[in-house]
Amino acid sequence: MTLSEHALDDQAVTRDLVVSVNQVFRTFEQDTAPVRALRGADLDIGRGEFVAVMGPSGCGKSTLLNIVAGLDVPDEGEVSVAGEALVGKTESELAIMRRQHVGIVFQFFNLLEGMTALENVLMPALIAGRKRKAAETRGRDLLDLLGIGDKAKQSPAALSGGQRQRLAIARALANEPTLLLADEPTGALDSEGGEEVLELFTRLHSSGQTILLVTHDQPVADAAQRLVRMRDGRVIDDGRPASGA
Amino acid sequence: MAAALLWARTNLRSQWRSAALVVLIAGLCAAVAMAATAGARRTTTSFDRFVRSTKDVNIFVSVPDQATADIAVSVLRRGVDPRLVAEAVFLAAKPTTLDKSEEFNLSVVGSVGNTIDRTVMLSKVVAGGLPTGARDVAVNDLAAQRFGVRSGDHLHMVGYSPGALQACSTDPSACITDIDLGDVTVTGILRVPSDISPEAAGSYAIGLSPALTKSWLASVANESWLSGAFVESPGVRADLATTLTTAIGTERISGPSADVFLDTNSQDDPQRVQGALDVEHNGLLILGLLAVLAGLIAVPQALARHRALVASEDAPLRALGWTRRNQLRAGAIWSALLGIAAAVVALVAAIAISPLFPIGLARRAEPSPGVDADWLVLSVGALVTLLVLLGAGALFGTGGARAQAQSPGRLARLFSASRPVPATAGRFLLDSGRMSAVARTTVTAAVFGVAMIACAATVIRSQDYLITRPQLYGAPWDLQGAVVGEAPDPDALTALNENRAVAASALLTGGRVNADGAGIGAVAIDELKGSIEPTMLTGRTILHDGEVVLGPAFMHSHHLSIGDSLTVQASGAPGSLTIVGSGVPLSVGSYSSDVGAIMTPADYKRYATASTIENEGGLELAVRLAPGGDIAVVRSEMSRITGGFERVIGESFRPARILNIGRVRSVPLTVEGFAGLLTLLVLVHSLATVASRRRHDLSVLRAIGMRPKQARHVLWWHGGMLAVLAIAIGLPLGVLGGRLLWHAVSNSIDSVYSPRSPWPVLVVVAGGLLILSVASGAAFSGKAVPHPIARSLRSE
Repeated sequence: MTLSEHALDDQAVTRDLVVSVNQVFRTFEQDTAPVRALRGADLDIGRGEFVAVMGPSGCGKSTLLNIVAGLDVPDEGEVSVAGEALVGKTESELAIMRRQHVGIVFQFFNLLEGMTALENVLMPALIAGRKRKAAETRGRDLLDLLGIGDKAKQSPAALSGGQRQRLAIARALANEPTLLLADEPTGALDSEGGEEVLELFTRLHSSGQTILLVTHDQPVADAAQRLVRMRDGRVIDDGRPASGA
Repeated sequence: MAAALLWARTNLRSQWRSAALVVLIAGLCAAVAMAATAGARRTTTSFDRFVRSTKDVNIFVSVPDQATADIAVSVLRRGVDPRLVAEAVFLAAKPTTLDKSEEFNLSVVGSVGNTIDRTVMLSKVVAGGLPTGARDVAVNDLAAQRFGVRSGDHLHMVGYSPGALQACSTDPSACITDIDLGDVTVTGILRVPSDISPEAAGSYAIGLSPALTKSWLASVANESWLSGAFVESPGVRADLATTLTTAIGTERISGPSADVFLDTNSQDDPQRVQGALDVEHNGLLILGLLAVLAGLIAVPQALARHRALVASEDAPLRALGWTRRNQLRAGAIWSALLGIAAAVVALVAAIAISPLFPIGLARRAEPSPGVDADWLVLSVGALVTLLVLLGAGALFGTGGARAQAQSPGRLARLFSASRPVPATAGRFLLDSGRMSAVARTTVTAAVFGVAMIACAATVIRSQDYLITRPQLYGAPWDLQGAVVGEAPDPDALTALNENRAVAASALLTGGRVNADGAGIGAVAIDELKGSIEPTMLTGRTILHDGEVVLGPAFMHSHHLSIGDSLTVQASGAPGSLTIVGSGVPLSVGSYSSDVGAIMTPADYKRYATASTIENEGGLELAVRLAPGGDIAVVRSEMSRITGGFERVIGESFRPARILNIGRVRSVPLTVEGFAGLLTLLVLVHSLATVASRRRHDLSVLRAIGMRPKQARHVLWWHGGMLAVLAIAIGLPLGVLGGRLLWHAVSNSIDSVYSPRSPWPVLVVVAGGLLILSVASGAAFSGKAVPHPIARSLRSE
């Protein structure tokens, strides 16, 4: 890609922002002293981008991801996802926003252990009010797509780490979200499992999925199109990774 | 050890609400068990202690004149402490409010010497004080209830002159009081041993002050004189009896009641009292056993739920080198601390609720009601509570957390087709993984609790049904009265039977026969109009001479069946009767259900023991009303035969065995309340546990789009489903159990098995449980849905 192509691409992204974080502050009250997790963080992500956020422990990257997901609320600043401002929304409105626009993949999977793999994938669609039959068809397709179609009736406890994370990704994609959020998606996996998951993210990105991923791991970050570095609650570097995507 | 102590202390501190509920559940079960057992022990001895504390006369003579009574008193005073000797006169008087049919139940006792005293007769003052003034009387407990008077109230009295009493003895229609004695003041309510009679009807007593006795003696007829004393030693009593007989001389004593009675007090049969107390004792023991059973089910389950709350710490602890032995030691400390707390709660609660015990007749007899501490029962109970918690802690509390199942349970799959909220609630309830202990124990305990309530309600409903239907317990007619004189007036009988309000009538003769080597009561039914048949349990009623219907108790004890022959002794050669059925024993005179041969009049004449017929037998008239028949008109006709002493069945007549069952009605009621409270505690504990343990799952669901309201509704649904499951399984089980229990009770009291299902109660229980369960879920749902979600996901 030439510089001019890159500039054109940037303009297109700016016109269609999926995530906009502007001067966000977040402080957690602890027993000993308040923890200032975010101190004026800014981040914009355009449609179709694959962004990795890296930084040392406690720099605020997971808090940023939670705020974008509507799982946490900022003390100050503005956040919008797919054009919807999140600040001021009720918990219920945030839940509806997540149904429509956000899929989340957690480091420790956060699967519903009492349900089968297929039911885990069905659940977001059913919560969003989709017809069961349609949801089930998509659920099976997703499981097949992620290579765990034969595990549909198994409990998550019966799956390997890599399979569990693939299931978590399938669940995150159930409602065809505008934005896929991933918090250390390979953190609990071995190298083989991690590579499987990264390959999945790359495939998803190439099919147009917008992805925001938080990681400690440089190889994981290298797989992204754009690398954002954070320190002390702020974005200190917002550019492409050295090796490119 | 220090690590184990730290683990136990930390767990108790971090989950103190759950620990408190475990202690409360264990303490409640133990307290009810201890209080009921202590109550049962008090019940057994209550009457004995009452008699000893009242110092009622236990040796007495009843004679027709004062001169003889004075002789007896002088003999008694030489043999015992004069302060414990009493002399009284029974006067023919009554309050105007007393129905004529109940007159024979009333004793108006004139105080001649020491009769109404704190140490002899009528000695337990329940309210007010002893009568001393010129118009003062005291009444016993039952009389106070019957007349509706309290201390300080007035009673208007009337009496029979000697002439009127004489006329009454020969002509029932002439039994009319002819002296207006005016108002008297009730100064005290007293309790006497006869108040503890199993057949509570029929023991009204009015004690007159000495001054009032003196004034009434001049005009009111006296029925008999009594001289008696309280003598503790049986040997001295026996000697005194001999001396009394010698001194008085039998020729100077006349009338059927003139004899020296030993150890009889005022109650006619201490064994019957003790029999009634045994029923109450057994009832309380059953209550205690149920509480123990409930505790054995609920406590380990509560511990298992509590353990599920802290199971997440197992893995990190094991990673730090925590061994199974460490866990066992920590679990022992943990459950011992809970056990000690539960034992203390149980002790305090058992003492606090001790005034509720004993129950029924024993409650009336209990000389020291109020707070009681039976230290033997309390010590054993506290120790058992501690041991149960230790044992349950070892069994359920120290095991590692259960691994998540490889596939969801079959039952949980039932909910896969539901909408997200009920589907999630169903999965939470029937999960076969880590939380299965919570689900399993809660469902079991809730089912048990609901079943206990349904069982108790079925017993209560069936009992109420039985009590209001005398035909089920041996009185298949509406009116019954003893015939005055040798035989009924034929004209009066004809007039009665011509009355259209009379559907059927019969003369019942009660006596005794010697059958299969045992002296048993017998009743002959001589039908006069229509058909009066005994209530049959199996087989058929007697149709011909040579047939007999027996009571089930006698058939059982003598291994007899329908079709067998019963050998009956007679003055001549022994005879034989064919058993054609088993029936509910009839009550005639002093012969009631423990007896049980029903035969034709001809067979009765042939086989009944002559002396028994003469001295003890009863002749009674029984009448069954036609539908819509005017009872007042029929009573008026009957009074020409029964002297106005006829009883309305179901109102003034119930056999002791039925009254005894009625007295333990509070046991199933207590079981209902106890089971209800226990079920509620289990629900609250379970839902609190679920709210705490499922917070993470609910947060995940919220992260994938579930609204907070929906997440809260999962807990509502969880509570509702739990209630529905408990109702669906517990109610039918409980009703079935109640019916089986009532079958056993019916057999034991010789009544027809006629169970009734308490539908209104069951609907209220089902509805109430559903509402409470959903409300508990709602109450805890806030805890399960924290804000913001990220904190919950992070903390888990």
